[in-house]
Amino acid sequence: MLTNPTAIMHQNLSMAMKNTPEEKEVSKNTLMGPPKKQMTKTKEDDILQPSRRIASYIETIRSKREEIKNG
Amino acid sequence: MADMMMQPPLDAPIPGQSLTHELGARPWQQPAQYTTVEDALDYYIPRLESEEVTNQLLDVLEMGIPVTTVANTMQLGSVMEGKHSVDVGMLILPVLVELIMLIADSAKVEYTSGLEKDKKMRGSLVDLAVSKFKEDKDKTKDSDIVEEKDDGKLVADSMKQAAEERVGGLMSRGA
Repeated sequence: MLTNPTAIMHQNLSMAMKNTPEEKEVSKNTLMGPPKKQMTKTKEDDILQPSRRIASYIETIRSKREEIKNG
Repeated sequence: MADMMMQPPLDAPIPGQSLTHELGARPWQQPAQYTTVEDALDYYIPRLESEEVTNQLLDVLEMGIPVTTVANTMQLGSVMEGKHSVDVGMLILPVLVELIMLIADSAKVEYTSGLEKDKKMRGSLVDLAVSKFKEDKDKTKDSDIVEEKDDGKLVADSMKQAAEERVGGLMSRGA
């Protein structure tokens, strides 16, 4: 039975941080028709997700750790 | 030692004992005090930064207890106190791990993170891999010996034989 999920959570978050999808430029206008509505999630929505927020906190703490380690 | 012998051997809670209290009587059955990740971190960070907690934390880490265990214990305790929900606890676990490692690094204390556990292989798997490696090594040794013996005449004879069999051109029909 799993009693300590910390390692799994940490691993999953690290993987999610690595596999962050790159932004694609979506053309706003089609040739003849009206401007397309952007169906993909905007960057702001992505930031509002808890996992992304936590990833940003972890990145900050890691950079601090690196600073301490490297002097 | 004598006291330990006097204790009943089966002193665990019986199944369903947690349901014997009224609903809402326990802190974790009440609405959580901190409902967001930020609120929960605001609760943890000043505590972790305090000198008393830091000293205790470093002592625990120096004893060899993994960071993951400490972080999990902390969040589990807070869930039991009704500080935050289990979900928020799961979300802040990686942050707690990083924070504890940051504190340990800044104090230059050696610690075991507990994150490398998954990389460990079971002993049986290692034994299996070693035995397979040995078998493969023995096989290659045997084949090398045969090749060394056959090196001179046998190879030349086999080449001659092959050449005789392929008298025709590349496009000729086989026998």
